[in-house]
Amino acid sequence: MTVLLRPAGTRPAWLYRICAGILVITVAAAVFAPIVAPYEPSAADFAALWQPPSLEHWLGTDHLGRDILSRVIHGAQPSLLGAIALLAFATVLGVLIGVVAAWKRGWVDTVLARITDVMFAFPGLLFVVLVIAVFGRGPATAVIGMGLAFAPVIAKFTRAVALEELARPYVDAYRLQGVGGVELCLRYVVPNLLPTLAGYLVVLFGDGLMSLAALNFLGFGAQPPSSEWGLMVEESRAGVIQGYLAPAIIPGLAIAIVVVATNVVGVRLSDKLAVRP
Amino acid sequence: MTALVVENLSLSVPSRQILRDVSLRVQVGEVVGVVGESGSGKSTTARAVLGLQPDDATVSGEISVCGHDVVHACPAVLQEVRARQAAMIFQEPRRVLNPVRRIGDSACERLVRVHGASKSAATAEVSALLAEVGLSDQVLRRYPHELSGGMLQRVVIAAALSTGPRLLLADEATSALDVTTQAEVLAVLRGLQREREMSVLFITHDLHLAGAYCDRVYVMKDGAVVDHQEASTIFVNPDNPYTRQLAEAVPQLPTREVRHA
Amino acid sequence: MPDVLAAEGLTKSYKGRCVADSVSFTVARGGSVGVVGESGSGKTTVARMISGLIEPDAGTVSVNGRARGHDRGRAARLRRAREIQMVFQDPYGSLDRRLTVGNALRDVLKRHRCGKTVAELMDSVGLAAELESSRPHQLSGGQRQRVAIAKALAVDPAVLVLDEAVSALDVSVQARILALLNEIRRDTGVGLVFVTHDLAVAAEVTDTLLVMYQGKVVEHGDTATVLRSPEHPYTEMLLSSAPGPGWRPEQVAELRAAFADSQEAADA
Repeated sequence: MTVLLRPAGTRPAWLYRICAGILVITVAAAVFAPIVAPYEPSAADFAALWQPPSLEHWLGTDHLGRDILSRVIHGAQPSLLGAIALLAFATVLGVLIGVVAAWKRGWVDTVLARITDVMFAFPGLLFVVLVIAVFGRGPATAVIGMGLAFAPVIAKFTRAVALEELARPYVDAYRLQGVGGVELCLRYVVPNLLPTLAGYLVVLFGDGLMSLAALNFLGFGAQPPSSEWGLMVEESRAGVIQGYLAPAIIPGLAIAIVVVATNVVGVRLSDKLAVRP
Repeated sequence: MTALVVENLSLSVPSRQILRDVSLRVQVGEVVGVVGESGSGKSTTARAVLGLQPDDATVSGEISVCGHDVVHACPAVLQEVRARQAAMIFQEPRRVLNPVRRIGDSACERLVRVHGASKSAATAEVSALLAEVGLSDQVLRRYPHELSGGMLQRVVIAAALSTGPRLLLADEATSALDVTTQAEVLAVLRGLQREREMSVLFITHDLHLAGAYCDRVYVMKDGAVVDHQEASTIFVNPDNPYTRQLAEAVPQLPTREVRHA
Repeated sequence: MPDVLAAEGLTKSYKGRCVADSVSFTVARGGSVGVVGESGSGKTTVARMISGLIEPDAGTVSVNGRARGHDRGRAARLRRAREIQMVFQDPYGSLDRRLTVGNALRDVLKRHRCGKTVAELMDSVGLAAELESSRPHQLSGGQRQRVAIAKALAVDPAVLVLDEAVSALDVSVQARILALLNEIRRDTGVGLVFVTHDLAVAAEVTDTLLVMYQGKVVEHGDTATVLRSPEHPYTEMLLSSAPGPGWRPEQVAELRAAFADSQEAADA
């Protein structure tokens, strides 16, 4: 109603800064892993299995005596790259479907909506199993399979914002200038959607990271000796029963922290970037 | 008590000064117009009355709403002013109402959230006001897109008045409506305003509308008040050169021939 | 003077409700026709049917004596673009917010291979040359509307449709844009279809006036004559609704209610 209060529920600025800091550190770790990691990630030391945290091994060692800190740092790269590849693939597909649906409306929209609904209804895992059945297991298969699962989410979002964008008079002005549908959508409308989309993608990034980690945990994606975080959790599973919790919990925690951080940053970004009429 | 006193109000943001020494008064039960073109500072003045200046603005001068100092107010007093003393309505009701919520939820929100009224009491109060603005309480169950602009603006007026404000700030409230609908909404507003002895600060770019609807009119230009006169004199060759320039810019209808039946 | 635009029996219904009922009119070369009415009168629908943004259920639009085609393909689209251009109400939404003024104009000129330059276009609508690198959010409403007019005129259209194009502007800016439009139609011979709810604005810039009420043209004639001695009670009511000395909103509201009643009685 009439202006009364500042919008409720906005998160404090310090939380945003901390989360942005975490993301910067994570990305730095991914890029500079060989420099900052104290040990080789796959250097086994059978004299030091299941070590608790110490000055030598800040976060301890795992079942092969590998330094967990080094493995987590080196794991940032495959984890982040996997999520980026997944989103890139899902975005291209989802934006295409969403924009075509919004532009064509009518039966095209209905058909695409049904297809995305069906894709929505199946768990992402099903696509991965399908893709693996065709291409065999590996990081690329995991990314494509999960990408297929993410595309409908992005398509739905894109369709909604594209509908709003297409209703703006400048779009009519382009049509009256003789701009064709494909050119109009790809050259003029999609670039105008990107800022709104960008914030949303950062939010989705956390989901993507988690889903890929889950796939890797199940052994569908990254293969040893990769130190991808989901795979690290899987490899350290045996230790949990024996009472060695840290090797499984630490990479899990890394996943959780990055997911939360991208979420906070994404929501904030989308508030800033989203174009409101 | 005067409903609104603005004394030597100056407001600037780091890049520029928006208001310079603005002074105006609204007596109880009076309708006062503020006329100016975009960028004249008329909306900024209205927003400052509710303490809604930009975050990085520096404000000097005095604003008092029904005796409450707004400029130096603590958040609690500001909240009290916004909740009970003054209400504001805008040009675009569709931007104020959440498109995915029923009208009733939006319209009762202030009473429930700020005044702690029960949902049913709030609905009863808003329904009564809707009847006064000429709408059935059926609209409470509708969505904003199902109503015309004129109907929505009446809903917004009813919702704004539900908390019994002493001062209404109307910022271009009828500018998006066509002339006949504008007249209908203003007729409703005038009725409510007289009945409740409410004061109205009527902000508009339309000099003729201000002249016809208000009691007194302030004219603003580049952040300052440049003219102040009785509304009726707007139409008879105003002395102030800027007011005259504004009046002359308004496109004129040709004089009509009197028709003989 | 030959007619640049002829609209014949334009009709459109949405969900069984008729929003335009066989609307016909012509625009002479360099002429200007106003379409006025309240919101919901169907005036915007007429504008969009003329420009080809919506397809009429019945009726035809011809430009320079030739019916507008529906041919697909780039050449046909570009040819249609040179027939009719349109300027919209919302100065904020009618420009692509990513493009600078210069790039937006260059984009049109390139598409249509016009021999003009950006500088000439900007000059023709009275835009200062230094605004070339500005983006829409840096411009005032009046400047944006000038850019929109420049974009539309870049292709030398036969007809320019303006849908409430000055309604969101300040009066002084409005007056300058109206003067610009009058100048342009005198210099280039473009025909104007000027859609507005504001009768006084229509008086400034149109020769002929159509008054619409609920999809029907209730009055059609020379602008000055219609405004000076209206024939239809609806036109008369619109005229007395404009604020001025002695204006009372209550009286206008009563008039309007009485008019609506009389229409219902006539329909029944």
